[in-house]
Amino acid sequence: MLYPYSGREQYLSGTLAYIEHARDSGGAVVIAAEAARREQLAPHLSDPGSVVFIDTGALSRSPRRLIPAWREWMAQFAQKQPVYGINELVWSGRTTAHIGELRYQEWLFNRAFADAASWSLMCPFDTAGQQAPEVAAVSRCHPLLWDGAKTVASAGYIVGDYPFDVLAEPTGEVRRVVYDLAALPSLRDGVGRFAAACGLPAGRVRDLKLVVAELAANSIRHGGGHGVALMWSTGDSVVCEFTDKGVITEPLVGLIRPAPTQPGGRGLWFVNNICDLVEIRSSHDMGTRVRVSMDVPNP
Amino acid sequence: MATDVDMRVGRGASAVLEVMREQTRSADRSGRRLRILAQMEHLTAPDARLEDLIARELDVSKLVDYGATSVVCAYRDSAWKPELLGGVAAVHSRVVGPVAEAVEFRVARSGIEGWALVGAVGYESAASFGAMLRVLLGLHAHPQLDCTGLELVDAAGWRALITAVAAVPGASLALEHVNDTVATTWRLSGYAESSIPVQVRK
Repeated sequence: MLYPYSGREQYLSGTLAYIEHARDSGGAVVIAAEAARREQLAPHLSDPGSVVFIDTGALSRSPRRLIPAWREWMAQFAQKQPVYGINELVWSGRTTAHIGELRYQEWLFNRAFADAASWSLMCPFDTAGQQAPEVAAVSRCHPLLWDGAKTVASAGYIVGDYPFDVLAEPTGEVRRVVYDLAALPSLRDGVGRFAAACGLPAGRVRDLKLVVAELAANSIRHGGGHGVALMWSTGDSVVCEFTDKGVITEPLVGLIRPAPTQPGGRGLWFVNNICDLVEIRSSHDMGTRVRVSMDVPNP
Repeated sequence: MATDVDMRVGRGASAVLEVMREQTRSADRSGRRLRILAQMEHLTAPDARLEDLIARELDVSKLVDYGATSVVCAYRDSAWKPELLGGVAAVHSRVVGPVAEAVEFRVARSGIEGWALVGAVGYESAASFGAMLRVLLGLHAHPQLDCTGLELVDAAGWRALITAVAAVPGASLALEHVNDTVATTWRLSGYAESSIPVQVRK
């Protein structure tokens, strides 16, 4: 459920009310937020030691790492009692693409944990400084809202297919490469050279080449045997996009850690965990586009 | 000075290899260092499986241990399937000719007992990688691969590795000196939590 609040006082009152509600219900409280939230909340808690704080500073950089992380925390904390989670994302300072993916991941949470019986998740969202359409768009990703004291239904909750934002047009010079099985090594190397020239550090260049290997291999295996790769730079990040004729029908693909005994199914899992941003659009009409971004550090 | 080894039809690859070993030892005893050129169609049938070909390659490469200074395995283009050549090229430290650019990873001898894995193991080379590992695990039950020169292993590569180790009862495999990318994908793969004995260390 979403908790739209405005300012520090409203954040504290509503969040503390949710924690009290959780305790009254006999649940464990897990708060995943940036480290500063612990300092703000702890003095107001009667028994701060009973609340689990998880610093999501590094994690929240990549929206597609949130559902896997919560699955692990759930497995860890939901053994004996219901879990009441607080999942606070950082929305400010993000690109439009990043915010669009954050919204989608919040919507996916309800699907990812549909089978979890003893589970409640509250997502605080600071509306201060946000435009009304953005607040409405985030609200539609949650079936319930926390009004600071109780849950209420969220008007306009998205049921059925998710209405994705249209991917932004590439900016600046765009390189285009058509690839097939024989071209995979040269595609990897070409993207690597491009990314290095754009300022990506050597280790991240290697990571990006691994991502290229996975996405291009998916085109070979599931997308008709070939695909088209685009690459460009936004200045802040290196972006690559892979298009093929395949269709991804399962929205949670690559968001669930494969079991150790599961032989395959790790390609998108790697991609989601390595990239700073992953956007996927797939349909029977258009095929599949996977756009990945790697942040370039400031010089 | 060039020495021809008798490879008349019917002698068999094992016999030919033994003659080559003896020639190499003999040269070593007399203070000469040999350079061996092996015409591979005389040692392995061109329709052999990739594993068989790699095994023969490794047999030939062992001649270095008997005193040869270098071994060149020669393949006549027209006699071999391209996919076999691409696969077998991976067990050579150097490759020249049409398949040279297609080789993305290589396994080569490193020291007396060790092996080094270099390059990138991607989807296009995963089958060759698996075949090479099966042969290697057949020769050494617990090989260690120096991965200082290994750039990346993708999901298909890890799957090939795990499948190869699982297929050889009692075998284990260690990848040493891997970079952060290789270590990360290994950790993410979750294979470390399986019962298959593979160690991956930075």
